Amino acid sequence: MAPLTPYTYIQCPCSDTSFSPSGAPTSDDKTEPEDDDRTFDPRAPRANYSLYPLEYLLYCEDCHQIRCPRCVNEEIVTYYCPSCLFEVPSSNLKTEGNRCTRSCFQCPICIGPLVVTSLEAPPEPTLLAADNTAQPTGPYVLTCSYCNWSSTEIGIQFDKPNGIYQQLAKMSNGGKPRLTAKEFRERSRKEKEGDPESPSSPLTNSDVDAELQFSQLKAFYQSQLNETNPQAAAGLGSLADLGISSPGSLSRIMSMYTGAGHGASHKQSRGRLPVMREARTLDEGFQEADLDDSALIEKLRASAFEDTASTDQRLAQQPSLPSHHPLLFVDDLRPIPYLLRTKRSKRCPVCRHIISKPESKISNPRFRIRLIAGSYIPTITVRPFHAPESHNVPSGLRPPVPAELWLAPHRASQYVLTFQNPIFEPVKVTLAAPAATPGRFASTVTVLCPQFDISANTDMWDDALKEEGEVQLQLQRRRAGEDGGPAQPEPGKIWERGRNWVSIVVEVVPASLRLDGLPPGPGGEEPDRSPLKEDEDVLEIPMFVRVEWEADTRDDVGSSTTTRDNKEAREKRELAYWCVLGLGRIARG
Amino acid sequence: MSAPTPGPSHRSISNIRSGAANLPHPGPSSPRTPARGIASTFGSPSSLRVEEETVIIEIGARFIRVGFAGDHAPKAVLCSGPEEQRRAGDFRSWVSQSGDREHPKEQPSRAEWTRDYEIWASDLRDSDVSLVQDKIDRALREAFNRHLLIDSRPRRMSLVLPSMIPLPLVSATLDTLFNRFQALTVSLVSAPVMSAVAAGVRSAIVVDLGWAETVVTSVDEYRETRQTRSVRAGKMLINEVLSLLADLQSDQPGHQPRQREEEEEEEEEEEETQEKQQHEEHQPARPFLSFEECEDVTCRMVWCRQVAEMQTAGDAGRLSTVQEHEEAPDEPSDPQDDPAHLVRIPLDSCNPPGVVEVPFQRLSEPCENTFMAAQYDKTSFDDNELPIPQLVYQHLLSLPIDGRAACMSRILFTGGCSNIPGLRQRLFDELCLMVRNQGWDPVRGKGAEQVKRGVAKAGVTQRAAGGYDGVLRGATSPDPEKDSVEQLLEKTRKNVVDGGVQGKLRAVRTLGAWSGGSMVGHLRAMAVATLDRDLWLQQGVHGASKPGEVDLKAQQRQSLSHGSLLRGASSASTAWTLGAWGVV
Repeated sequence: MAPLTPYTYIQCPCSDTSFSPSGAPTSDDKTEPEDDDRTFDPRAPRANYSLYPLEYLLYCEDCHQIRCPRCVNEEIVTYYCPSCLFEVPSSNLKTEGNRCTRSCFQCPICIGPLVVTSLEAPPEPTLLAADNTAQPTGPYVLTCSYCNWSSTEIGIQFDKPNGIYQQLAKMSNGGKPRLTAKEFRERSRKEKEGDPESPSSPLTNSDVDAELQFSQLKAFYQSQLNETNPQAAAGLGSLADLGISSPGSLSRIMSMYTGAGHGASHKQSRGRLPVMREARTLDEGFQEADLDDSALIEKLRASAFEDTASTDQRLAQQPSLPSHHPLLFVDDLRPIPYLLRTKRSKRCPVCRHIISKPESKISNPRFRIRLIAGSYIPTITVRPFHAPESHNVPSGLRPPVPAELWLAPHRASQYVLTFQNPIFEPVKVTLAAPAATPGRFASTVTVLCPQFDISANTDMWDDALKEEGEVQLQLQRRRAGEDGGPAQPEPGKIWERGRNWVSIVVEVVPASLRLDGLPPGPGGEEPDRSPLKEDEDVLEIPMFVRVEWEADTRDDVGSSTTTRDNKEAREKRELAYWCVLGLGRIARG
Repeated sequence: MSAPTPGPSHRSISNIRSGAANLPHPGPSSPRTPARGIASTFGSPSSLRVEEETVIIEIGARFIRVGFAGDHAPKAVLCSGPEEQRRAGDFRSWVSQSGDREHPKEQPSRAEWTRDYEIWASDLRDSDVSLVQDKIDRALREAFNRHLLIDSRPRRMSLVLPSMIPLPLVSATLDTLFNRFQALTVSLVSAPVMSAVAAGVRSAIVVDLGWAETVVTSVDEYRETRQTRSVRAGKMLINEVLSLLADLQSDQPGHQPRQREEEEEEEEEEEETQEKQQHEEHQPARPFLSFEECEDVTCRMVWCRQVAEMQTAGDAGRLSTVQEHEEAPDEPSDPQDDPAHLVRIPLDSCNPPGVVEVPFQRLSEPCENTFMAAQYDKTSFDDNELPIPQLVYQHLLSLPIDGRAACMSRILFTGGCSNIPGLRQRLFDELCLMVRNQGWDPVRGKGAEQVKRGVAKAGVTQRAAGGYDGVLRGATSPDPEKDSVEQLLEKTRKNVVDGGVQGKLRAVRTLGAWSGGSMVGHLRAMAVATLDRDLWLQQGVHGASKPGEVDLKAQQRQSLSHGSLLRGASSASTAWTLGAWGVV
């Protein structure tokens, strides 16, 4: 496994508070001592759901709070197809579903985009104009330009090169047409009448796929409800019988005329029977199960492992497949119409202010409003601490970096954390990290300077305009140490400081990953000696970050002049959150 | 709006009916426009409806299905595996796996192997309910954002749940829906009943071949009457497949298991001997294959043998009493002739990756061992591990005679494992065989046989004989002693099932619980338990006012009263229920 680059994750504060389970009384009894004393464990399974990279987080200016994807309210701006970039009106979405109904499809094998091509050989490009202008004629197929899959493999060809979605919806794999509810009714009526020109064999189970069955059932239930409905009112019947004006009896009368469903009349004659019956026939949506899978088993026997559809392929399919038997083979797969996508604007759930609003035009990827957290809270970057002189060594002579990224157990190593302040006020940062990382393998952590100030994010040129000598001097003093030898990080001191950034040093002593070296539990019980879980060898430090700054009470531009005059109007703000620093993997052995 | 009409069969349906009639007219005394047949005449009324669609959510042990009411299939089917549980911004599953080939991921112990892939387990002793909430939250967010394309406006939701799900899980799910997704109301409907709805029947026996358990539920007039379960289900099947593959892999000469062990030993030589021993102790208990791959193989290649292949030819002839045509097609396709037919299954996640050659014949073994376990004596099973045919049979046997008559001809197979080619047929045939051999007589054994023989010879009662040789007669023959209530019930029932098939074993196709939920949501039928957002946020699960035991009568009445009479006055009404899902 490759050694990983150091990373930072931030836990959105929303996951602590707003989500207390109301229905778990037992959890109160065994909760951790106090909320404040609780150390966030980045390795707990729940942590994965609340940790976000800084880039994923937004910030509400009015609540002064971080907002993660879980704690925003969303509104959809536009719907569009990611393939053809056509905007879909929201009314279409209701009727036509969540997929592109033009000709955008994904390959069922490799999810690459499919293109419509003619089966006819393209005209010779060398031929001259007259012939070349002729459009290729059908039949057309969908082909994947990545894996060369073609819809002929599932026996599907199209007559027209456009409107593929509609054409495909009418066909099942193999090219057999699918019956719609209307066609089905038509045919079953013909059958009942004994129409001699009824073209095909009688309707069987296999003619009715899930969609048709569902619509038939729906129609059946609806007719049953309508039939039983008037008599439902008869529950209050004694009241309803008072006169024709009462809705109950009116509806009963109506039902005599309109309730022309199957068996309605004989039900009526039997007296009031307010019970819906069950579906009985094929056109009511009832089907005896076709249990005979012998053909399927035979096919399975004859096919190789590769002929069957993999789990990924099956999950990528549209869930509403018109197949009769479970999806098993590659030739049961169908082209996947592209899922539509949305552009969403996001609001703070508390103050309802918009914190992210994209341009509504699909081709425009910009945002009108986007309050990303990165411009409000300090960015934390982690890098391994190199001896300062290595900066002067030509890169070819430096020790190979990856070797250093593996943390050696029981050997102290140092990391430089750089905090960069994005706001235009000086901030005060207070860090807290547990002395030992939570989890089975407790590495010790020492933050050498847990409290420091970062100056404001002033104009970028300020750095240059400042006397260079002063900055250089400051850096050099720190690096060179007083005695002239190589600089050592000192406890309580900042390592480096710049215009709007501060670096500090964190010292870690990684624990050994050996299972036999695990200390016994607090009660003296046997430690958990199960093998290493995934990522358990990564040294992750939970760190509580508290940022304090003073800001104008009003952020509005208009009122800024008044507040500047009135210095007392500045208010103290603070933001506190957990973050997780991933330093690297601990070497085994 | 309508008082419960007498007779048990009316009650439940009056719910649906009155709900459908009432929902568009919230006021209890508002005048109603009579429902006309327009909807059915001109097709689906969904286009006429302008208001928001109800979101139907079905949560099972492995998959979450989400979609809109009125659709025949969900819009999103999501599972929750370790890949889905990664942190945001962790894209390692997209990074090429080449680095991992050399150091394949170590598999967790066999007990934990499947756990990461479950959304929840019924055993809550060492599971974290809030983690379940997180999983559901993430899956629903994904479904809403990517598949349903809806925003976070409040909307009505309907939750299809298995009826025996532990209350903390129900509560956690509802918390998520109300707190995180601003659900206005959440209707709880039970999965087996929805399966029956999706088959178009009112009574059924639902055999849910699910993940952790196979659950057999009998539904009588849209009410669950009895539920039995067995651990013989998907999880066990996957473990069986794993064992089979492990067997074959170690047997195969092409694959060098020796060398593999040597490699491991080499790796471990640097380590202390103590750890080595320990490591080796873990080794056999750990799967050599990743769960994904094993599941993949299970879904792709496992099939089920048929009764005809297991029995002698003579038996098939005698089966004619039950359902002859079901048996017929299997006989010519006797596939056992070619034991040498090998399937090459490439396995990537083991160390080293390789190809396992499996005789096609043996790919039916996991299914056989999991669901039939024919090699063991029937009396040797514990209560929670009955083979499925026996489970269904005993379930039917324990039903009252009318319920049995109705249910046995409406067998619904649902659940993921019902997709295994041939399994449904096999279970059905096994059940037929059992019924034919044993009749509907719970008493078995030598002594019983003797007594029966004696009784039959003497010809004392017709009933004993009926139970002994004639299944169908036993199931349908009316009870000799009748009281007036019975007669009334009989009358209604006759009308209800009028023309419906009874007392004959028959399997019916169902569209699945989600589709049933979608149907019910579309028809605006009243669910047993409909929870209001405000009430839930105020009271939480502790506000559920139902006594623990499922008293159907009271429950129906209560939900009815809540649903139809107190509707619209939700702030005043404090009585709400979780229905069959119980109370704290």
